[in-house]
Amino acid sequence: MTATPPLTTPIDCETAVRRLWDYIDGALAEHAAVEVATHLAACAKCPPHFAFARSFLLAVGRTATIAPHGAATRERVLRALEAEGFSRAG
Amino acid sequence: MTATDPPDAVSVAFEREVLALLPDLARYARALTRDAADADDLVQETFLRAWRGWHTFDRARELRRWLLAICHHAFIRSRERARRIQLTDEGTDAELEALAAARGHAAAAREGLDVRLLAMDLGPAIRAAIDALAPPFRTVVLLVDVEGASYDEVATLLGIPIGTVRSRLFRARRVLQEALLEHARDAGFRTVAPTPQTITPTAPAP
Repeated sequence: MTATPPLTTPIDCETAVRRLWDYIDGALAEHAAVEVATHLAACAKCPPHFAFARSFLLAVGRTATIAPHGAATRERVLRALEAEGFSRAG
Repeated sequence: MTATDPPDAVSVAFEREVLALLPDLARYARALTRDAADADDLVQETFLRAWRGWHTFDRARELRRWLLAICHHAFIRSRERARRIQLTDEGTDAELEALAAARGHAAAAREGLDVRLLAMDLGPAIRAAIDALAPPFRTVVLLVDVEGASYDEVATLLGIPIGTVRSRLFRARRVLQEALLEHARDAGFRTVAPTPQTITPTAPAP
């Protein structure tokens, strides 16, 4: 006996796009995500929106590679902690 | 154990586990405050609070999330001290923001802007656009899109409903997308970087 797939109904482009961010973020319920995936597989208009949105989010996420901190910040934090009983290693 | 007389092992553990996250905290603080000196103050305040509360930290929790929460609340307190926060109505259907983002993309695609945008070095433009967001929106974008937190985690961390997380996030993404497409449009006609536009969605309480 095979597992019953989640019940899904065909959705239109507007419904699919309304779910765009939730779908990309993996925040949709399973049946809703399947409905979007099914729609994307059959639609010519929507996939570019989703592809662009994914690329956009990747670009935003990549800003995390810039970490503006230096040794001065760490030293300042260590000194403040030492004033409250912390003892640094070494 | 007290914070004024900690065993060496406590300091060692704190330095190894907590201070190792200083780069993450510094990045988050810098993005929140948009000012190097304010960010340093916030980082220091965060680690002091973490040190004071280290003995209460629940090891079942994720340390980085705990620190981000401390940082966020310290930031909010510093802002409350600086000025009264203006309450405004969000009143936005989160899914309408997704629709608006797709419409914006469709219009840009007709000009070929989307392809141009994704071929550009977007780092400076993205940072400028994120900096221009009002703090409640900037916070959610940083936590979800940069730090990788889930809606649930952000809702818990900020003490707001998941629906509010979604509406702020989706609205911020649309505004960021519009700003970046505008950046790409300008780059098509100019060889110098454009001045970042001011992006001020209505600012709800954080």
